[in-house]
Formats: sequence, structure tokens, C-alpha cells
Amino acid sequence: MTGDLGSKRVRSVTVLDEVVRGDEAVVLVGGQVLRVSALAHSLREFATDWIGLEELGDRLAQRHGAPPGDAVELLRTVITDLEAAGLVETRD
Amino acid sequence: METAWESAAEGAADRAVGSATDSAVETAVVPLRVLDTDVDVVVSGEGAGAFARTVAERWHLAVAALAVGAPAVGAPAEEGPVSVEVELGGGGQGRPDGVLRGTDERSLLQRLTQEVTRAAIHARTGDLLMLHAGALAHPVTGAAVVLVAPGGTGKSTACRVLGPARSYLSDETVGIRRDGTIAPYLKPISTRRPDWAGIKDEVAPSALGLVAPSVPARPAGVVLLRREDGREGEPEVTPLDTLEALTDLAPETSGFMGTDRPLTWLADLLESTGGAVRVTYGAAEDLAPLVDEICGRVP
Repeated sequence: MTGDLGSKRVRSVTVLDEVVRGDEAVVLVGGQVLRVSALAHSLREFATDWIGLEELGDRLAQRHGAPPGDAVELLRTVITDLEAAGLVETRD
Repeated sequence: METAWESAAEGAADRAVGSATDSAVETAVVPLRVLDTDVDVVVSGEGAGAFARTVAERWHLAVAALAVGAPAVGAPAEEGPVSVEVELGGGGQGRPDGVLRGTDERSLLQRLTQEVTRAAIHARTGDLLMLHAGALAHPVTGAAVVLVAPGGTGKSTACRVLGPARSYLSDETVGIRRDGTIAPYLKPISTRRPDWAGIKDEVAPSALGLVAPSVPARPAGVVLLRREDGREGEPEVTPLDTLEALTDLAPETSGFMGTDRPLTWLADLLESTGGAVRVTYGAAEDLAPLVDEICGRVP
């Protein structure tokens, strides 16, 4: 994983309910039912405890392959979306 | 003074509250049993007896002493009844104090149905897995087809057309108990009139040839209805994987967020019944083969 992700860390938020089938999931969080993609589900699995973005990016790449384009920007976008949905939290 | 219908056991639908005494009636009560919940419809005002009699006629399968579907093992403990109040002759829509007021019978009956539904759902949130659905069952085995659809998109029509010769369970809300049986909601069938102007007729199930279940019903299949007006030919049946079904069905639930692990419960239900299907169809009659197949399964 390349790029400067600084010291940002991420952790999954506990959801009210979760059904996992294959490598995807549907979760109940914040009064919403959300379908979680394979990448996002993996991210949540790897982030059961606080994890740095660099390590997280590496583990995601091992499972799903190297991302197309700017890996750093992609990871930031995914985390921003998941944080907005209430599925992860971040800290510096 | 003629007062409450203390019990429907005397035959509420036939009982003459009495036009001769209607002018003296101040309060009449129709005790309903819906979704494992006792709901008393308390009617007051001039003509209360006659209106209560109409309510009992339209809701005849749900009148408490006559209602079927006694709570199964694991059903919630008996609680006091929930009351829905109707004040005849009052103006306005009856909010915010919760009392339904008005003079137009059809409108009041429709609003009463909505209020009974709301009250029962509120009471059973957490106890039942509730879907916006109609349901019909095999009269002998209890194998039920659960027909999920948003309001106004085919549930009542499907029950009206396909219900005769099967057991009727609901045309609005299907409540599934933790033991897997269905808590009947034997409400009137809500039917659009040809001159529809925003008010539906609440039709007694018996008038449409619908009967209550005589054996406990269990879901044997879940169908997500997608009616397309004008569509002709065979319905298109699309199997849904569990995750797709969960996201499609979640908006068609009630009390979902107040239920313990509702996604897991719904997923277990779907997978124990072979998975949900989405059916795109034109006319309710076209659903008959699928309904036959599902009701023919071993529940």
C-alpha cells in the first residue's frame, strides 16, 4: 500500500443485526437496513479493533487484489461512505 | 341505557343492538382479537349501536370471542385490551387525541381499520415479525403463501380473487410468531370502489367467500408482488437470494427496528421456506398456479 495515510485509524461499529451470506452482508444500523459490499464487509471484518489505514489497505489488497487507480483515494472514499452510514468510526 | 357489547360470544354480527334503542345508546364496544392482540373498538355518540353492529359485521372473523388462531406456544402473555375510540358526529379527523370522529360511515370504517392496524402493530412490536402482506393458507395443512406488497398494489385483490377455497389470514399485515406460526389478522378486505375517491370499502370477508383458518398456519413461501397494470401473459417469477430479499422486504415490515435481531429472523424464515421470489404479474388470477404450488408444500 502506498501513499501517506497519516495516523488515521478506523474501527467497525457494532450493528444491531447482521446477516452474512458469501462475502457480502446486510446489516441493521441506525434505523436502516443496508447491503454491504464484499469490500466493505472485509473492511469491517479487518477493523473489529482499531487499525491503521495502511495495514487495512494491505489486508484488503491481499483479499481482493490491488485496486484500480489510486488505492489511497479509494480507501478514503470507502471509509468516508461507511462512516457516513454509521458502519465504521475513525480517529486520528 | 344500552351500553357495551360486553361479549361477542352472543353472536356480534347478528346481535341486534337495536335500532329501537339506538337513540339511547351512548357507548358500544366491539372486542376484536387481531395479531394476538385484544383491541376494543369503543363507539360513542348518537347511533353508536348501529355503527358498532356494522363494525362487528365487517370484522366478524376477528370479533374476540369468535376469533380463531389462539396464541401458540411462545405467544405473548395476555394483556389488557388496547382501545380504539370512535366518536360519531364529531368533526375533523380525530387527531390529536387519538379519537376517530366523523359522520361518514365509509370514511370512519376505513380510518378505523387503519387505527386498529396501528394499535395492533404497536402492541406486538418485538413479539411478531410483521410484514406488509396478505396471506392465504391451505385449509387442511395450514401451509401459507405470504404475499408481500406495498399498500394499494395488490394484496387485497389477490386475497379476494385467490382466497375462496383457502383460509384467509390477512390482506394487510402478516404477523409471524417466534414458533413459526402466523397470528391471524382477519380484518375486512379493503376494496377500492369503482367510483373511488380516496376511500376504500371495508368488506366483510364472508361476503367474498373467505373463511378463517381452522388449523395453525405457517409460511410455506414468501412472494414479493410487483403488479404491472395491463401486463398480459405468464407472471415472471424471479428467485431472490437471501440478501436481496432482505433489502427488498425490509421496507415492507412493521415494528422491524423494535424487534430483536429482525434480519436474522427474516433470513431464517426465508431460507426455511425455500427463499423468496419476486413475481411480476398483471392480474391476480395469474398468480393461482404459484399460490397453489406454495400452499401445496408441507409447512
